Amino acid sequence: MDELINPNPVVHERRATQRSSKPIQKQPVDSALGSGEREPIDALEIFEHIRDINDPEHPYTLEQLNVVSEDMIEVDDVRGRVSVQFTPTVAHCSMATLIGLSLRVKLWRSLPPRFKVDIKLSPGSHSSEAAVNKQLGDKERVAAALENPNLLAMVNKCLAGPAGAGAAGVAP
Amino acid sequence: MALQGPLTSPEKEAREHGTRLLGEVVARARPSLSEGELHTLAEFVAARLRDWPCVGAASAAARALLQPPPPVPVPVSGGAEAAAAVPLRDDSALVLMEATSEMLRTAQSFRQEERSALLQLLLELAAPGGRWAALAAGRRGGAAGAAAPAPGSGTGGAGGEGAPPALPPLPPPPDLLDAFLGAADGEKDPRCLLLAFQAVQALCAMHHAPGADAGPLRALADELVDWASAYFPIAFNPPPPRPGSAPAAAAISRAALAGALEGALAASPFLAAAALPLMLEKLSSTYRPAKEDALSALRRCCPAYGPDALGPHVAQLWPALRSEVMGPAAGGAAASAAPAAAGGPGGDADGRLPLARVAASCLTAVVRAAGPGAMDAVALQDAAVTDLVAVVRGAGASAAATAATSTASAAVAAARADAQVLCGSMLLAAVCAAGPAATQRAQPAVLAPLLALLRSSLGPAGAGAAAAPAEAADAAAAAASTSGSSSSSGSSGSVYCRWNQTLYGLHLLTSVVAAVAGELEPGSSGSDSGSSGGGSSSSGGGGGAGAWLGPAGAGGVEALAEVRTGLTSCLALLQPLLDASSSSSSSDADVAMDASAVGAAAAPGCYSPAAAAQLRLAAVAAWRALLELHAAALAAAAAAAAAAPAAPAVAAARDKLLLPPGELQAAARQLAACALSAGSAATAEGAGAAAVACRMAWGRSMDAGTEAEAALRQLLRLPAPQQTAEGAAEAGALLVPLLVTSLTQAMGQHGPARGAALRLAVQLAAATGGSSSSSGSSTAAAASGSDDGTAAFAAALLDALAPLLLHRAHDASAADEAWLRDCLSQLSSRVLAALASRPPADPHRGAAAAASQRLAAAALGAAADAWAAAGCRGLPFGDAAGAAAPPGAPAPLHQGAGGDLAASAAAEASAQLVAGWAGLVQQLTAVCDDRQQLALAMDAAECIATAGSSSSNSSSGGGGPPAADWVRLPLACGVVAGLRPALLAPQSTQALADSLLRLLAAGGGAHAAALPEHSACAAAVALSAAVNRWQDAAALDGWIAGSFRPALLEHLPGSSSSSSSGSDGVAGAAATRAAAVGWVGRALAMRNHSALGDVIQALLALLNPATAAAATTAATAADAATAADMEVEVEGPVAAHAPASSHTSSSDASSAAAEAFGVLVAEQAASGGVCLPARPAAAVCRVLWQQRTFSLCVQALSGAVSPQQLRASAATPAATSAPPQQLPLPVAMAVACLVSAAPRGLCRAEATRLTPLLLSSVLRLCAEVCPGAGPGADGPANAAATATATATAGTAASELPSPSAVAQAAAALRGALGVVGDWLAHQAAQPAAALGQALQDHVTELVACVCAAALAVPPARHTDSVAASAAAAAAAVAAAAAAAAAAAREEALRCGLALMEAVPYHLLHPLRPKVLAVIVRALDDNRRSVRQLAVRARRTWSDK
Repeated sequence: MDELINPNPVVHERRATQRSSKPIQKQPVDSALGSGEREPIDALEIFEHIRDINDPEHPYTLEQLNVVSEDMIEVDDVRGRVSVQFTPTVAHCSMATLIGLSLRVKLWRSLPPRFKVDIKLSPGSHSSEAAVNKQLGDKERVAAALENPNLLAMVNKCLAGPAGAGAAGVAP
Repeated sequence: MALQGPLTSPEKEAREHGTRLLGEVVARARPSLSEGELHTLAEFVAARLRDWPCVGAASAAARALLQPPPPVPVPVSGGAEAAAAVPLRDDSALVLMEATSEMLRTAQSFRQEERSALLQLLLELAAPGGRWAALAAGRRGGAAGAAAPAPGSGTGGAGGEGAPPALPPLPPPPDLLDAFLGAADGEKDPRCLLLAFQAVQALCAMHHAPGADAGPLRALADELVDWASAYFPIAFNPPPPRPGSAPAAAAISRAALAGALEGALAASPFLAAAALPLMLEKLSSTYRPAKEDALSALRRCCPAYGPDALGPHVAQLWPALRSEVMGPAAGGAAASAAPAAAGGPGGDADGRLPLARVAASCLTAVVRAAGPGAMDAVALQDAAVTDLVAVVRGAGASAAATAATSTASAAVAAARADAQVLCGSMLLAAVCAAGPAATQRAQPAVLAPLLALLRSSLGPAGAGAAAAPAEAADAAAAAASTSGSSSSSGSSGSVYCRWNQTLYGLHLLTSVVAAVAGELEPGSSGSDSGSSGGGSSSSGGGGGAGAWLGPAGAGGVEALAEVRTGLTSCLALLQPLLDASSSSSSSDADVAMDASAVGAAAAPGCYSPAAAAQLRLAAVAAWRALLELHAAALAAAAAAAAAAPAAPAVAAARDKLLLPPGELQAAARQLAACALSAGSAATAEGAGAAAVACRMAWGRSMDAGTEAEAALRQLLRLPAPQQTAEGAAEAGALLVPLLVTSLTQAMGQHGPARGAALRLAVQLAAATGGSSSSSGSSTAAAASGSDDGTAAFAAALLDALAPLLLHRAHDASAADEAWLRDCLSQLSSRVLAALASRPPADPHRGAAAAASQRLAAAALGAAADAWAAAGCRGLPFGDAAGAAAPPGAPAPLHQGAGGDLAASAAAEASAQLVAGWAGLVQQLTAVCDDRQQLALAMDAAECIATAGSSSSNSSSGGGGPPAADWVRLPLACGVVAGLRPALLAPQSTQALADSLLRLLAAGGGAHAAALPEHSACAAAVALSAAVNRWQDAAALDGWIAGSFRPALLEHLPGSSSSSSSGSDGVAGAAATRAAAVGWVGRALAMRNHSALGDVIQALLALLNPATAAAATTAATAADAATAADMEVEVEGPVAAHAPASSHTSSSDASSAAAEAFGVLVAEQAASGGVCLPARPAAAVCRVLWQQRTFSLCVQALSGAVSPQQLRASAATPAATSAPPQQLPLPVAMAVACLVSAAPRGLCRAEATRLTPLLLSSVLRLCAEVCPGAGPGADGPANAAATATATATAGTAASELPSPSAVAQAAAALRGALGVVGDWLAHQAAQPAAALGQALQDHVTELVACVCAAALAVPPARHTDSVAASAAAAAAAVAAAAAAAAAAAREEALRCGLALMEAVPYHLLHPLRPKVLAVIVRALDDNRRSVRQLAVRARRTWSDK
């Protein structure tokens, strides 16, 4: 591209997020999920999936650009719902759809198939918010976009993670 | 000459090749060339140098000519010529030089290779001792001033060429520097630049050589700097590595370039005038690498330039460096509004902090290089330093004032003051560290006022309104030397309001002391002065210990000593205040830092909690700095004494810097108190609560406990060099008891402090543990010199702990027991292991050995006494219910209070306790020396003998054994296991083995009380140890034939006719016997004994009934409906026609036998707290015993499995229906235990034979862990569905394998998968043909295994129907099983990841959909870690 849309983005540090000590809710032993109690899929886990996605136009991750953050993620593990809101760096960002597509693909690859994923712009963050949201929510259009080899290649580049380390390269 | 054609050929390629060849020839034939030939060659090469296409080749040839001939050891063709090869004559060298300089001027137009060749030639010429220097010196010596300098470039060549060889006055050598500048101008290639920078160094050194004329250099210095400044700072982006090129060749880094450039700039003092302004300019740049480079260049150059060259620039250097060091404060003040809430300087300053640190160290170097009285004078008069005193004084006032002002602005002010103090401390420390003179100068200006302020801030504790005026007067008197506005310090109310002042003062002085200590350290100062070069060593400011300890440093040492005494006295004042505030500090821990005044007002008489925490950290830091100074002074003095013995000034200076013994003790007391209180607070509030954001460490969170612990470790390390100082040696001797008593006192109390004290003691005693216990004895021996203090401490600790431990054994409550267990395991695993690895000659080891013998003997005796003292209530164990009194520490059991659950938990705990004791005794025994071991062995043997005989009596007679003996049994077994092999005499071994055997065998008798499990385990290990150390081989054979075989081997249930009738007792006994057989097998295996085969066969026979019955069940199960039914029938082959108890008995025994296979080959196996490691010190070990045993076991196991079983289980994944045959579970368990215990290398070597066996075992284990969800059942998509399916399939819980069995199987599965994963990872890293073939042949099974294991979720259990206590126990077991299974799933997914790299993709492709389906299911795993791995695996598998 000739001209960067946001030539000088604000870069944030990668924060050292860690799970606060064991969640308090203790499920009864005979819950439907087996004797080992389930560690539910929570917002932090989703965030770890998407924090290292590359920005399409800058050599930074979405976390560093504050495009995604942990408190913009809502998860319901039992019912299988995930809702992610993201904030483009500038209101006229033409990459918003690409970022949304990357988020969707990444979560689609990282979550069990029973999950329904909603990707939205955070309210008021984009000049054509409704259009982008509609585009991202339309599964036909998403599927069609992923049929396009060029677009898929761009998405894969975004998902490649920083410097070749796997996108989910958070050491267990 | 055959080369003539090409050498003179008109074709330039031919000429070049010819010249190159000539160079090679010259290089090889150099020794045999005569002077004349050399001259001819030199002239020819010089001509070729001027021949443009040949430059590169010719300069290589010239270098070969110039190189000093290697000495020839053997005369080749006879004659004196060959013996001493002739060096190149001066005039011929000159010829070459002329040509070189001429070509250098035109070098810019050459290619990179040629430029680099020319530069290398130049380096050769200018090298120290090279030709140019020799020529120049010779010329000046011979014909002084006769020749005109600087020959023209054009004429030089012709003149040199025409010079007759014998003419004495040679023309002067050409000016290489000028020529070099011509060549290097505009150079861009990094390789050439590296050479060029080196050339500058060489050229400057050449000009500075004695006798050389430095004139040209002085003239050209500006030009040289101009040239170099173009590259400063280095901007270098390494090109992406080319695929073909070797990585090592292209490894020029930016750091290397920058280092070379610095070296070039530091090469000559003449460069200072031009280079210093350049560096200062770059220092003020906002580009960070420029700053960094400028700082490091300054640090390197200033010492090289020396005080004379620096003199004119001091006025510019100081402000520039000061602003760098103060940078964080300036930034912090600007941005403090925002991050003030976070406490301390914000994140913005963090980036600048390292820079400021570098600047500070640079400042030290510069101040030192500038010489005494130059820069330090400027520095100390600077406003920044005087401000510092004002800030510290102001802190006292501002704290009182904060109550009035709003808290927000106070926070900002506090943050700003913090930053200022921190930066100021760096500045001050840097200046003081520069040398004694600077410190001396700083004393009246800064240090004394600071000390006075600190003292006044800690004034009398009861300073109320009445005391305030006196205090103010005191402060005024102290601060009178400065322009003291002392009223501010008087205005503050009490000590507790002035804690900021205390904090600042402490920190400033501490940093000074720490910095000086760092300089005194012999290692650091040595390297410092080494890097500064020999040229500046005469400049007086050259730092290091010498300057401090020499007579010149007396003033500085005096000043420092004053600081030291002031600090220690202040610390002594501070400690009671801190103690008071920590004891009375209430629960209001949330008082914010800025609101400290409020907090102090609320609780008068103590610091607010936040303030106390900060001050405690500062105090610990101060002690650490003082200790560092102490150690550094000692080391430096020792080094100085080694260099020049009997220098009274050195001794005097050292004594001034040392801490007197009393203060060392005070340090120990205070630090221990601090560590203990912090530790107990941490344990009380939960882990990690003690870490506080330390304001004086830039908000880094620090834990006072760990800091104090580190300081104590430092303290313990001190006594080693103190042997020289007689007074201090006493102090060292006093220190250890002091510490030990304070620790043991803390341990004697109740509450959380005990745990903390234990932790601290273990940390201190095992301080060497990190290195010495893990690695071999060589490092331990090397480390032992410096760790005498640690060892002495450990020995004293053992002595002091003994009564405590034994006392605890008398009356133990539940919490006590936990502590005791912890203590035992810590002691045996860390402290004693560290001690045992020390060389036997060590005096401290002797002390420790004596202590441990006392403890062990006392334990043996006391256990019985204690039981007797407890009133001999009930049988210690062996009750029918299994709820026995704890034997090792026979506490009165709360039988009435607790129900079943309590009883079983207590039994469990006591078993662990006994295991801990036994392990401890073993370690203790291992530490003892031979004589002590012998004494212990006698006791133990007696104890075992009586136990053995009594048990055999009891089996016949029925009376219970004397309980006291039972109590002592595990301990005695521990002693036996800890003995050294050489110690056991043949007869006594026999007796020992017999009685142990009787003991083990008798357990099976129907009437005897069964041997409790842990005792049996310990006895088995002890028997094994005895057998292993049997010195008389013939007697051993006899024993095996006569006793072992009839008593144990033939009583195993699998063999012949036994196990027909039974009870629960028999089940346990069978398992015990199997385990004992396994242990004896291990002992025999380590000896490479032939009876091992029998043992393996016997163990196999235990697994065998399952094998035999599997065939029959397979026949009946062909039409069996569900997999769950299959499970039961396969597992219990005799279930159809035998009572259930017998079924469990055989399965118990077989699982014990399966585990025994693991015991056979393991490097170190433990049971019942006692272990038999395969180390020569602990056991008799033949070489390759593991290999032999492993191979035998594999052979036996694969022989036990029928081929169709292997094939059947291999075919399992494909079939969705129930598999016709499966591997028997015990065999699978045995395989898994075997491979996971064996060293990985062995498994890899045996891969071909092992693969089918291992893979089918894995499949079988998966089926066991997760019945119902067989590998082929991929209908239900998630775990919940699987669980329900399982629940429906298995109608009742009893039909499923028990949770403990599942846990066992899951653990085994994990071990087996670990081996598979190791294969795959190894194959991916460094492929091996055999292993790769084995993996490729079985790729289908491999993938099936991974898939099955990745989904191995143990089924849910419904435990509502059972009693509550049993439910809790079952839940615990089930949780353990779930955890083990999760670990197995993780391992499986890792295998899946490695599979992609280890196996060619074309083999994997057909299996991909299946694997992906499994991974998708794993994405919804219950465990987060498994899900993460699944995401990675999915990525790997779907990317292809």
